[in-house]
Amino acid sequence: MATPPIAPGTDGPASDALLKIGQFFTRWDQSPDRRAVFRSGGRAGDAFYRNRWSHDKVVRSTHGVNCTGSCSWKVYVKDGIITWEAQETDYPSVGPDRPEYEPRGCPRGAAFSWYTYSPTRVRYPYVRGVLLGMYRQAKEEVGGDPVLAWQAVVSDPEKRRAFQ
Amino acid sequence: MTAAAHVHTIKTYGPDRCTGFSPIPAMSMVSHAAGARFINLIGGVMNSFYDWYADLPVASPQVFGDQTDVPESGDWWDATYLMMWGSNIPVTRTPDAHWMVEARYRGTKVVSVSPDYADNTKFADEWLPAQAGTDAALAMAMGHVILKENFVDRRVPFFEDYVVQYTDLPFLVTLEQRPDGTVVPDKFLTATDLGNAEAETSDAAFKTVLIDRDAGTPVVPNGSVGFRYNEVDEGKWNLDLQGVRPALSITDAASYSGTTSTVELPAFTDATGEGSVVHRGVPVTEVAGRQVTTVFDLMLAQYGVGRAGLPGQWASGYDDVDTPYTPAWQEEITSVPAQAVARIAREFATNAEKSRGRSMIILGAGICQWYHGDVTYRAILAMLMLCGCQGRNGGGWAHYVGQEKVRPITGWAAMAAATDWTRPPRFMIGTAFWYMHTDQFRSDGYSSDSLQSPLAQGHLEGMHTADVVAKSTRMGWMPFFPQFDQNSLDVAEAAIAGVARGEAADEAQWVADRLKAEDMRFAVEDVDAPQNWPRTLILWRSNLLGSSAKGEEYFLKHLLGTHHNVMGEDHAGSRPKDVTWHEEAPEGKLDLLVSADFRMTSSTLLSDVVFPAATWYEKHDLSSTDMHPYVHAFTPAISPPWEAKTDYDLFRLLAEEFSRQASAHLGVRKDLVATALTHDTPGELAQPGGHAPDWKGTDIPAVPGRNLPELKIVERDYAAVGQKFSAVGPLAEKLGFTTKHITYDVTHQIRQLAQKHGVFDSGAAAGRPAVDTDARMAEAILLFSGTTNGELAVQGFETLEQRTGVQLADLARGSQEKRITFADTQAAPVPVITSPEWSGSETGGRRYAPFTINIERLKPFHTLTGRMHFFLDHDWIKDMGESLPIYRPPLDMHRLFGEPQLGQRGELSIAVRYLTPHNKWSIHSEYQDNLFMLSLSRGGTTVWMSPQDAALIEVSDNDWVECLNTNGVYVGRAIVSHRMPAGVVYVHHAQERTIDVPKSETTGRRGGIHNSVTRILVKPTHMIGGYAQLSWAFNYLGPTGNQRDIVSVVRKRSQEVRY
Ligand code: SF4
Repeated sequence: MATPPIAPGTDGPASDALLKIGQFFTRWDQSPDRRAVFRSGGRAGDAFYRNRWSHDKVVRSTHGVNCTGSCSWKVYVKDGIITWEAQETDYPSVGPDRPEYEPRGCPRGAAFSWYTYSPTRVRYPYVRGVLLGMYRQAKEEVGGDPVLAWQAVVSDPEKRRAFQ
Repeated sequence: MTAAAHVHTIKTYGPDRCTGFSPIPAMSMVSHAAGARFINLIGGVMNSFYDWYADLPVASPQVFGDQTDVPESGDWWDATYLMMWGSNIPVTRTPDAHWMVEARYRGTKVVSVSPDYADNTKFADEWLPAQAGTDAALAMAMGHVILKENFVDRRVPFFEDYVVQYTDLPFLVTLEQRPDGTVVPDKFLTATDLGNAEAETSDAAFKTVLIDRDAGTPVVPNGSVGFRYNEVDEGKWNLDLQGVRPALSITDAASYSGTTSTVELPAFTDATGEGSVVHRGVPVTEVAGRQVTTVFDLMLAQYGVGRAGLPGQWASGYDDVDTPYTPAWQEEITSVPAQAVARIAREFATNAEKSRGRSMIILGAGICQWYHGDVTYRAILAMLMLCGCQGRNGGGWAHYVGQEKVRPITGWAAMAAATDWTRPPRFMIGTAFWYMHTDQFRSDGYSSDSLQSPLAQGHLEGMHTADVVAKSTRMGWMPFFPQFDQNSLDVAEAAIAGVARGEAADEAQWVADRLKAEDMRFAVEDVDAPQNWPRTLILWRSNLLGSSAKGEEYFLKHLLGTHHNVMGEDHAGSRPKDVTWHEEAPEGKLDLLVSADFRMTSSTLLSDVVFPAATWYEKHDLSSTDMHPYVHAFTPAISPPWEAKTDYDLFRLLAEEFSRQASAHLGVRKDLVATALTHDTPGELAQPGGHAPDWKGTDIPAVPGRNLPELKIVERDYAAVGQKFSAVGPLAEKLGFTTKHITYDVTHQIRQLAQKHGVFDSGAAAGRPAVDTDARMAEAILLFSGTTNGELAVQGFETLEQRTGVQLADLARGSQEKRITFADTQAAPVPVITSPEWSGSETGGRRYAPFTINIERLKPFHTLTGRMHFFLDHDWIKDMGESLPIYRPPLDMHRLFGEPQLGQRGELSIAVRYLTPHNKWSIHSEYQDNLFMLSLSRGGTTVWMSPQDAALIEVSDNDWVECLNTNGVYVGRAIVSHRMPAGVVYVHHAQERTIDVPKSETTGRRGGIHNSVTRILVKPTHMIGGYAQLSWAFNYLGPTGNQRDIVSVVRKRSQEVRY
């Protein structure tokens, strides 16, 4: 007597029964074998991720850090904000019988765009407060000429010492 | 206010008290050029960086006559034997490391030399763990094996043909008999010495001589520097031997009679650096009444490779422990087994012979940045030259330290130096500038002669290093700024008046007479006098005080006049003679420190004014490197946010404001500019034989451009600086732009630029083409360079063809119509065009390897002989004992500076070598404060040490420790790793004060950066000038800011830290 073929996996009457019970409590469109269900809606949360990785334009730039890499990077911009960077891959080929230059990069460079809006970013000009105070006062005293004002500050040893 | 400070300084003290520092133009050429252009237009001083960073391998100018020229990483693939020597490729050349790994899959053997189990060592087939700083001993032993097996036991034709044509090995060196009867190698024999018709030819003192093997007679072959500049020899500056077969050894000459002579040679085999003398025989012959031998014969003598019939002490075999430079001798010093050395040297040479020169050595900062790094490099380059590897694809040296290669060099140099408006510019050697102006010379207790050869003749006797700087300045060897103890504007006007009164033939001579009469002094001779202080300093694209400032604490004390951790005293014993000593050292020389950056750094924290700069994603600019052959663009992804500005805009605005203020205070002035005798100009023929007696204190006249700097009067219209900044000036067409003595006529390019950008219609720049935005300046840089403009490449080669008489222009003719525009570089990286600005050829799509044009087209190297040099004969080099490749141990900091001896113990402390290699999670100081890198790395300051040293001072991983010596103190957490060898700590380069740096227990002040524990150590031989390849050019030659010989005490500190 021929034995019936053994079904692959864990399928069997027990799992069929469990699936049936499951569908009794949650009714959705389903595939005939009940292994897949079809739903619509409920994806609002994805927008966040999609936006994070969408962009309006891509711009070529690199890093000027004396690293010797001089790698070309794609910089992604969304709504006027730099979002992330990725390695360029369009270096002209060096020939058929050898490896290529693309892609180039390093983990440090891949982290660069963080600086744009980071707490360490220098956003405005800074001047040493004591110096600026003395300079402004001197400028008033000499009648507005910046050179004479500077001269007044630095030729006074005490003032010079005060801001150094 | 910044503009006002500049106007005031120029008016009161002189333009050369205004200084700027911004390194590495290749990493953003326009941003660099913009600031440099402002500084140069006002007559200010730009400091060099490549030598200051000790990225410059001084051996390169010494041996090749070239700043640095190396293969792109794609050429590693062509190597069939690849050594990595002191270069940690995966960490410091991350995007290129794959080539090294891939070459292995192709069958290339990869060997690593590093003191620690470095990241690159993991990829190597074999590891030679040489003790830090002893690499030259290893290289000398390999050279010993190569010479013995390929030049004596067997003579390999491939090697011999190469060295007689492309190196100085066959050239004749005179032997000098000293009064005590001893004999030492002296100088190259020149045509002048021959006393015949040759001696009467132009520049005969710069034409070196060899012996015709067959005829046995002296021959003056083409190609030495004596053929480079004069009219008569046009067409003869080439390496064509015209059928002459040079005698490599004197014994090869048909006329050799069997005469020998025993010469004395210096050796520095003792760990204290103390020199000794070895006696070795060389074959000699007589030419024009002088005893001569060849450089090759001296090389065998130096390396201790004996030949039958020669007197002297020679190595008895590779296992001879006592005789330098055998494999067994080096084992005692480096710890590398002698057999491994012999085997690797043999493999290296055999591979080169079979592959025709495709053995390559990648070298890096780990061996370059030592005091004697030049000597180490020369020993390694010797291996490559002996094996015919230089100028080959897949062969030769591959030195990677710093992004020095500005491929479009001519255009960048013109924009940065503003030579389109005024020349010459004021360029300074950074190391000497900081050494003198931060008063590090005051605590420098050793005189130059403490490192000299036992055979020295006293050229450096009793000279303090500050005296070396002073002498180098007054002899025209190296530049120094400020120039004089008076305002150079006043000097210029006085000189003009003096000439009008008939006091001298010209202004330069008038100044020379004042200097000779000591009516006027070089500023360096009284560098601490207030009128000689630098007054303004602008930093941009630079974090000087968080990164490169060797002896950082001295910067803080003397230049800035702020809080510091200097613990040593001024040196009472050894004081300079030619530099005035002030009892009270000045503190706070600078009036104003300005920096421009996009992030807060150790430098911005210390600045008086900080300008917000655009990031690399917010400006137009250009980038190139020696690692790959492309130029490509920076493009703004967004416009600079907040009040940030591009470097270009910042300096344009500063130039305009400066001019507004200057029109009332300065107007049009004359300025007198002093420049050193410059490499690749006839100035390098000023001092024949490398023997230059001093005019100071003797009756030798001081002659500008001979034994004194060149002195030139220029006009500066200070009210027009703003307008000149944004336009290309008329000297472009009038004088052309010059790179390496090839002058490019850019008349056509100026027309093109005018059509493209338009011209100004009024003012000082009326009719001149605009470069009034960063993108336009980028365009100009590309337009004026041969590598990016085929028309100029062809033109340059045609000029060079006339001088050399060999065919060259075909290398670029296929690209004559090609012009790489800025838009091209924005579209994709663009491979550059073969150009005489560099020494290699990319023609036909081959990978870039340096010197292929020299080797294949017989174009000379820019050296004395026109060949690559093993032998150097300048008086100072001889006195330092470095005429030939040699081993010199790291400096003995105990003997020279009174630091503790290595291994010396205190309570929970030990004295160790203090090394500052590059870091995996940052590049210089950049990125370490980046949130992502902080998360990936340990974060904050660290000190890597071995488990052995950690156990001795009871330190566990992550404990706080302090590294200190007389220079300052550094505080960090210990990383205890088996990767580290005992006796060495690694404090990674440029860890800044801004992240997690607590107060030190030792001084109570905040701990410093890695360079707070280092100091500037100027090597006198780097200050030589005025003599062929040993002549100054900006970033080409100058003293290095080396920092690896430093010894520091590492001690466990209280684990309670305060910030
Ligand atoms: S990715 Fe890394 S190596 Fe490449 S340019 Fe940027 S920082 Fe340099």
